[in-house]
Amino acid sequence: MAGQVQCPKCKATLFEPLFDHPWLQPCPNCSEQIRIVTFPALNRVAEAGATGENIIIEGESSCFFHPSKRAAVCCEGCGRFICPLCDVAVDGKHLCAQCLSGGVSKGLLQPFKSTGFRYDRAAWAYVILSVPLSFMFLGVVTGAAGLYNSIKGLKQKDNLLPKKTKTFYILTIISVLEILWSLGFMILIFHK
Amino acid sequence: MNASENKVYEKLPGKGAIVSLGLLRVLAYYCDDHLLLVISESSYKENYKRFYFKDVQAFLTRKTKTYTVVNVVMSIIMLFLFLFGVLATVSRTRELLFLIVPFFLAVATIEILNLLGGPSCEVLIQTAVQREKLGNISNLKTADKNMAILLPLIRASQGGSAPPAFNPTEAVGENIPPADT
Repeated sequence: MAGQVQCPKCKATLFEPLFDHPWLQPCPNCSEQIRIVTFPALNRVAEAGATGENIIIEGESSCFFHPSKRAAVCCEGCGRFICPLCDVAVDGKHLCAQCLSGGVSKGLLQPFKSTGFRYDRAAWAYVILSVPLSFMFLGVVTGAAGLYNSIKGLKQKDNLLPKKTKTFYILTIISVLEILWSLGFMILIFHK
Repeated sequence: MNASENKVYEKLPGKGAIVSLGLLRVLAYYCDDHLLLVISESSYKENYKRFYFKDVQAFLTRKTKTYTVVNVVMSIIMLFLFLFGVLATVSRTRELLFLIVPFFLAVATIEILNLLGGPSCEVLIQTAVQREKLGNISNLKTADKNMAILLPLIRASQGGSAPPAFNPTEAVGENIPPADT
């Protein structure tokens, strides 16, 4: 069955005359001003997925995970035989669910990366925190934390978005200066 | 799945609603075959959601009342602050003006930013299995800028004939027709 479009407010199913109009149009049911842009995928009927053929002749290569199904391809991660049901095509490669899961958890498969850590924000937080804390002899600790996050950010290779290299260099310099300032302040106070 | 490693992403316009105060920051990026929503729920951790262009069925834009509500509320606050200012001046307690004027200017700034942003809206992206709000878009101007970038990419990836009427580039800033339709 092809897809349907529902009003974002009243959930009423909307039809053709409202689609792809350049202006906002009132919903026929709730009069909410809406604009709908549709694409050919809306009318595409989903194809049934492959299920795998059953083994008829004894001795035929079978799927590692489904012994009753005939093997179709070899997993390019672990080399196990897999049926079309277990075959996940990623970037032109055939992988089984276990290899896929392992690749995702180790962060090796960029297309499946779902979380990220912002080292730049963490470094900024420590760098800003260092300013008041440097007068309480804790600036060295927060400065070091800022430096650690800056270097981690510079070395990060699995980031999805463009790396802010300049920002990380600036943060590294500020962190080092804050550590030196804090150490200098401590020496000045304790020498008196 | 059509996904290659090390995609080069470019940022889409919009940073979300000003009223979210940065607590839930949503940014959107795009590459050759998908749209990436970057949702920062905490300060340091961010979550990614991908929408492959070949799977996108529709974009639904709904005009919201946030713009009007913010305008009315800010105008009322500004009116009250103005009256307080006048009263403070008349009653010779001018010291109060040091408190009232900065507050008035802050409210006026929010009002001006809201007016410059234009009418507010929410945009939903629909695929066969989900419908998700594009949190980076908070007003119609930003929605049109986003559409101008995304529509050609989606149509190119899905093929087929483009709907004849819609041209977002022409519609930028002119979402409400001059006469009733």
